Amino acid sequence: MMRRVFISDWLKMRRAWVGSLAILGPAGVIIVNAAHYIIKYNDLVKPDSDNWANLVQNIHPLLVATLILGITLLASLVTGLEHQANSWKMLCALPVPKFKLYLSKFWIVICLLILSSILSVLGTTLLGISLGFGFSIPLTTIIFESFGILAAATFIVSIQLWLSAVISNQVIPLTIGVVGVVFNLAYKVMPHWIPWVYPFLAGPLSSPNNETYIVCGLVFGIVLLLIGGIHFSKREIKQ
Amino acid sequence: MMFKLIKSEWIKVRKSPVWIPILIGPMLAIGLGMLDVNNNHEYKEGINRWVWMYPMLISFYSIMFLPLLSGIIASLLCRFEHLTGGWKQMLTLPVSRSKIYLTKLAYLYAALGFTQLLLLLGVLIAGFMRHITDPVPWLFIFKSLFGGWIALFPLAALQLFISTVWKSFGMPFAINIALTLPTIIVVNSDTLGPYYPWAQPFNAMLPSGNSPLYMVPSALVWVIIVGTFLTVSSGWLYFAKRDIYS
Repeated sequence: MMRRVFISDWLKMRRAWVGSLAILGPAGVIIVNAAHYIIKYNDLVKPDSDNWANLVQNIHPLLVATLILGITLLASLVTGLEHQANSWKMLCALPVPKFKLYLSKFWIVICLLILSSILSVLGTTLLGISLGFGFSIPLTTIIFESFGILAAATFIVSIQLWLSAVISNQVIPLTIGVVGVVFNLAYKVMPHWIPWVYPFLAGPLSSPNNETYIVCGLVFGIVLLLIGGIHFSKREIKQ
Repeated sequence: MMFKLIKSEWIKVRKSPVWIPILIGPMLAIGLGMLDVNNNHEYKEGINRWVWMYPMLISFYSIMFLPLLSGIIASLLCRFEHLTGGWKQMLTLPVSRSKIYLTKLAYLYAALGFTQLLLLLGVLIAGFMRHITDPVPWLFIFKSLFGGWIALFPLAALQLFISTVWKSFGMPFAINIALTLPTIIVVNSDTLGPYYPWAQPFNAMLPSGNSPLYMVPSALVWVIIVGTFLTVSSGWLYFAKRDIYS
């Protein structure tokens, strides 16, 4: 049942270029960082420092910002199709529990983000190798970087998905997403319990107790997903 | 004719949620800036306190928020017509298409200008909350806000162009994000900084040096003029000539 709901949602999404967005995100981050490294090679690459760690640290801010804006966009797109065509009533009249519909949309966003994370791991490795950092690749660090921030961002996925599904005018979820990115960039001054700051602090080299943020993001994300799903299944569809 | 168009556009705009992003922006800038000032920076002697505090208030705002805001407002302005097939109705009216496009562009610029004015209000509030007793450097602040507003012209015109092309909210927003995100890196680089259009609001709003008067680098001015010309004319031409399907 869940598989069929997921496949039908996936078919809907084919028109909205979400696949290309999932690929373009990490590709863009890697390309911009490549350009940055090439232009400022002498400043960034010093002979005795740990080049791979510096690479991961330099990629981190842009990756997290792209991730959050990407989440906002994807959540808006997966729910936008129903909002535009006013087909929520039709969708919810099907003999499928509404909770499963909500869950399948969440799952689509997560799958696309997992694809993006895999691509960013590959891209980081390739970038490091082509910049001549040698083959002693700290794979654990790179994988933790990409998937750790994804896990911490689960909270944001739940929030954005709930907002996009419940509010028909997509401006409000998009604005909140944009505000979230600005919070994320200002991580030094923001209190550390704000959801949008979790991905930044969840990178392996970004803060001393980054595992806390990964776990918090995951746990709160799943809790909010359940709450949001229950709210979604109970509410009356007006259009 | 233009005046009537502007009035009719106002009726559409005043009911839309365009006020939400406009009001949030300056509040955000001020809030973040205040936190930043409290935590991070020591006051240096000899500089006007306002001039010292100002860059912290506007840095996040002008790098990330302003370009994204222009995209959101542009999409909102076109939203009325995209939904419910309004373009067809709008364009069969005896008004020239150019005037319609220019009205929307004028509203977009006016909304962004209004945001800058609200930012001025926010800066003043932030200053009073910090009990700054130095004289307010009006010329400095106005130059910065005005420069930032002008620097938004090419970005906003491009966003309006893209929003008229695509019906959904998603694609214009995606393009906006893709062009705004590199700003974080570009503003730190000296070779690309002056030329990248999405970094111009930050360059224009941030003073070079701490004197009350600053000279805007000429590369910035040329990029803005050329950029504005290109984006406005391409959007205008496209809109005037396109076939309407929706």
